[in-house]
Amino acid sequence: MAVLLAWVFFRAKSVDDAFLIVSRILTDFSSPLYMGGSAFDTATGLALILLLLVVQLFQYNRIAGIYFQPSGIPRLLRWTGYAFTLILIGMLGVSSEQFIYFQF
Amino acid sequence: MSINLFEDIRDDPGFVKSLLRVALFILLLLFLDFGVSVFLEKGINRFYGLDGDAEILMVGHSHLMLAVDKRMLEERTGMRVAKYTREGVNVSDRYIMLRQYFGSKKGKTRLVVYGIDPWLFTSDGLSVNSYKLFYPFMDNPWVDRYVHRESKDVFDYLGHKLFRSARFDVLLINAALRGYLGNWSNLKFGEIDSTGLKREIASGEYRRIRIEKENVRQFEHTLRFLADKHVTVILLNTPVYHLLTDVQPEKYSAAMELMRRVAARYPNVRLLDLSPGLARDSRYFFDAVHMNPYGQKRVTGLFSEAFDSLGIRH
Repeated sequence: MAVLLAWVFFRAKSVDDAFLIVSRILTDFSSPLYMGGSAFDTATGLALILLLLVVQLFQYNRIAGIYFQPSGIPRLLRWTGYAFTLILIGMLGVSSEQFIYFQF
Repeated sequence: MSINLFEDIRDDPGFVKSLLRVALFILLLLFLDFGVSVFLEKGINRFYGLDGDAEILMVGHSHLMLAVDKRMLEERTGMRVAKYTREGVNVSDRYIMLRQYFGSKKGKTRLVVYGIDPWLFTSDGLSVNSYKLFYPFMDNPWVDRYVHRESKDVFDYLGHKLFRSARFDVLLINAALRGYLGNWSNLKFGEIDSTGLKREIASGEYRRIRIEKENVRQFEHTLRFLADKHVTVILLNTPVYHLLTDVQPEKYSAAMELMRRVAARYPNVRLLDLSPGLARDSRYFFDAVHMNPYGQKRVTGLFSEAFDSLGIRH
């Protein structure tokens, strides 16, 4: 968060502009929320972050194993999770010769 | 202790159990992989209109995708529309799309709307490795042969043949979900930054119009293919913001004139140019070549109004 805030000061034309931008971030909600280049990509990213947080929560509560400790999650469910992770890597992973679209 | 691997395996009482576990996991993986791919394939078939016999088929790339509102056109014409448009597809890719579509349809389609623009005969600056767009349709033997021929290496091809879910990427997952939700909305909100575009053009950063013989040949081949299918074809020139064409007027005119000449050779082909009337109004554009929702409504309205003058009965 601090790095993102520092970028505002780094890219703004003047310190006044930077403070104006920072104040507007916190007070001006009139414009629609910027969802990045693709709203779907942003939503996918947020969902995956949420998933990682849930996994961490499970590990903290000793439901999921950490550092090769036994897991409390039933084997079939765990294996299904591993399989889905591999499937997601296959779908969302980037290959060296992927399809590239130049936005024309 | 033995250093022989085979003896180690033979003496390990848990080896068979581990092997069985690995085999079971692979089976589970393949089962889920199949389920995910079937789910996504059904979704994209709905999104692109490949799941039923549409009366109007639209083929093109992102220009056409964002320029025409499928739902609005269906309401105005009373005909079912399949909008098979993919990002970055060139003339050859569109021919593959048409072959794929007509290879699996029963023949209800009587009108094909083919998206054109001044860069139709230009290969540079569109996309690379576009054969990868056809991975999800590898079960179609004709598409499979095309992907096999175009694949850079055999592992690339076999990997996607075996692991079906790897045929889909984030764009296709999005398309599949939109297919299930019945959502074809243009989500490119906002208006073109003309000042930024002027700056880019001044520094020479714009896509040049080129006429390449191979693309012209492929275009003619496509029109011959559609003539054999006995369908009416509308070559729809979707609007391009004027700054991009004003900077290369001779090439723009030459490309459009060539398209008109080729179209005139086929009695089933009409060319509809919607660009001149809209090209100077920035309110319609998200960027220089893509319409925003406001522009999309305008283009769809003009397009459906032109149906009668083009001799297409509702």
